[in-house]
Amino acid sequence: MVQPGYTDDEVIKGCLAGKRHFQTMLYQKYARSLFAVCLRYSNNTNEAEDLLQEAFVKIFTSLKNYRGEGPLGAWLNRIVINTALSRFRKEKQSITVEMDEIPDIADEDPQDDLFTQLSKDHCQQILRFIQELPTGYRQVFNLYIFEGYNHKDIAQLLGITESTSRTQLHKAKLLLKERILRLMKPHK
Amino acid sequence: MESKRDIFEELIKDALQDMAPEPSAKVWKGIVRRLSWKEFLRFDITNFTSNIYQIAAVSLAGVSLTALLLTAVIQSREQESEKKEPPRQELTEDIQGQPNQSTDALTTEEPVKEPVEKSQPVLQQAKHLEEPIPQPSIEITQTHQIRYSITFRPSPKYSLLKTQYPTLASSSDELHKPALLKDEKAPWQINLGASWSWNRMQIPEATGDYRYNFNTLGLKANAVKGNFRFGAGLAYQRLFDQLPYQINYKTYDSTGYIFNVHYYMPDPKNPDMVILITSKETVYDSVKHSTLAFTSGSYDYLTIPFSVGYKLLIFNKFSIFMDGNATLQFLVHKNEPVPALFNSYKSSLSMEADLPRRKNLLIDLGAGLTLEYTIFNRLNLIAGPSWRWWLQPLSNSPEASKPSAWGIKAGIDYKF
Repeated sequence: MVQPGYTDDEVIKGCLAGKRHFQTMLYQKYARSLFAVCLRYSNNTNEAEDLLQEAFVKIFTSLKNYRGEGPLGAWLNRIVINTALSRFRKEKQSITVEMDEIPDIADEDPQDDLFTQLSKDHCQQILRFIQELPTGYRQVFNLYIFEGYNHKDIAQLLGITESTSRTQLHKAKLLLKERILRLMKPHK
Repeated sequence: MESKRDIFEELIKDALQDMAPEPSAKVWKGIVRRLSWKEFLRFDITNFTSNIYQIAAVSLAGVSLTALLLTAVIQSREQESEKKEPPRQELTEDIQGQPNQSTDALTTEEPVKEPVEKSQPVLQQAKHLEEPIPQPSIEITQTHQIRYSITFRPSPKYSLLKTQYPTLASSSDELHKPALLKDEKAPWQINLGASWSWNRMQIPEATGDYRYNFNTLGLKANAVKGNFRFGAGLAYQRLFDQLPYQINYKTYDSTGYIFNVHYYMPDPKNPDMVILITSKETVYDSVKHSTLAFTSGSYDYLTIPFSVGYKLLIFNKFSIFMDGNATLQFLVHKNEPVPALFNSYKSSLSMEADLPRRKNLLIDLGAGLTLEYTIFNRLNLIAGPSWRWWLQPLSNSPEASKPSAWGIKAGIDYKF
């Protein structure tokens, strides 16, 4: 019989000592949830996997900076998001969307009770719609909806104005609603 | 409208909240590769096993540099001494003209007298100036030194020395001439070498061959006589193996869904139908899991290779050897990690390890070719392919089979 499990603290200590075995454990515990974050910030699965790889290398090299003040998962989440944002900045993908990238969006906000039928069964399609959003829309949308940042924080983080952040979030939601409605209507 | 938007945001968030897709295996491989490189660059002397390659690289560089410097110093000294001497051809003729003359015979008064007589006018001049100059004795001493050193030169019958260490008298053709091949009286010569080899291990298994790469680093001394060389050394190698673990646990997990109908209303577009307003509820229950997990164990061996080589061919500065090896491998350290498991969300967790016991001593037989390139007189670069066959399986498991490996080696060799 082998000792079956370790606590987070033991795993962190093992990782800090450079033990590959503990690094594997940390990866296996958090890879899936962090990969979901990477998928939301990327255009496709390959890009998300590259991002996850880069983020985990940063995690292992900067784990000594984790002071244990908050949950480890939240700290890891922040590293993944920072990595995603800095990566897009490096790739010079402008936060403000290029003109030819902006799709036609109806001015009116589509209202439909069909949205209430959204469930976890639709997660793959919703994820695909988010990935298809223009980069700027996608980043603002993710930061606002999933990470809970306000527009002031988003503006500081992305180097844009608050009003740009509001506009991009609004347009991102309109785009998503339109696509989700198109997805749901055949089932009606 | 604002509240509608909030509902939409919440719905989206809820839909993706529990999404946890599995990234592909290449992600972790990439992370390990990048971390290994970072660790390689960050040298830690306290962690010997992870720094063995750095230590080896530094040692190899040190040995190479020392060998280069030694060679350069010896070469420059030889050149200096050659410059001071008259052309060797003439001196050899002198010796051949007086084959039985000893050193004492060469220092008889006859050759000395002549320069003394020639220097008489100079002495007279010196007397005139009242400053005695011991000029004649200098010439006598020089002559004596030249003759004396010649008597200690290697005998021409030792063609090995003549071939290996070029002198002004040796032509470049003569330098690489394989005169050694026919000389039965060639003296023993000692070489010391450092080498690294990259190997591809193959372990036959019922589910398919298990293959991985491993490295070997080592030092080796060779005793060379004629075309044969006999070697022994000390090396370090790390082998790997797959470790199976049977894992059983229970989780309180989702087993399905139910739809709760809260109310219904007539469909305005189709009066015959009703619209059901439902909520979806996930049903949870205790689920038993049983899975087989593998981890990769690493095993460090200190090895003692013995080898016999035969020089097949010499051309210009290249030589080709055929080698046969037998290597003793002593297990000095092992690392057998358990699978990564967390207690969270799991109950009745148990893990059964059916790990085969690794053998402490392994023996393999090998064969290979070595291409040797002479950089300087004493320093050679070596490279070539090798094949190794283990005489027994690596562990005591009845299912284990004998592995084999092919590899490529590279290194340096210094001739003393």
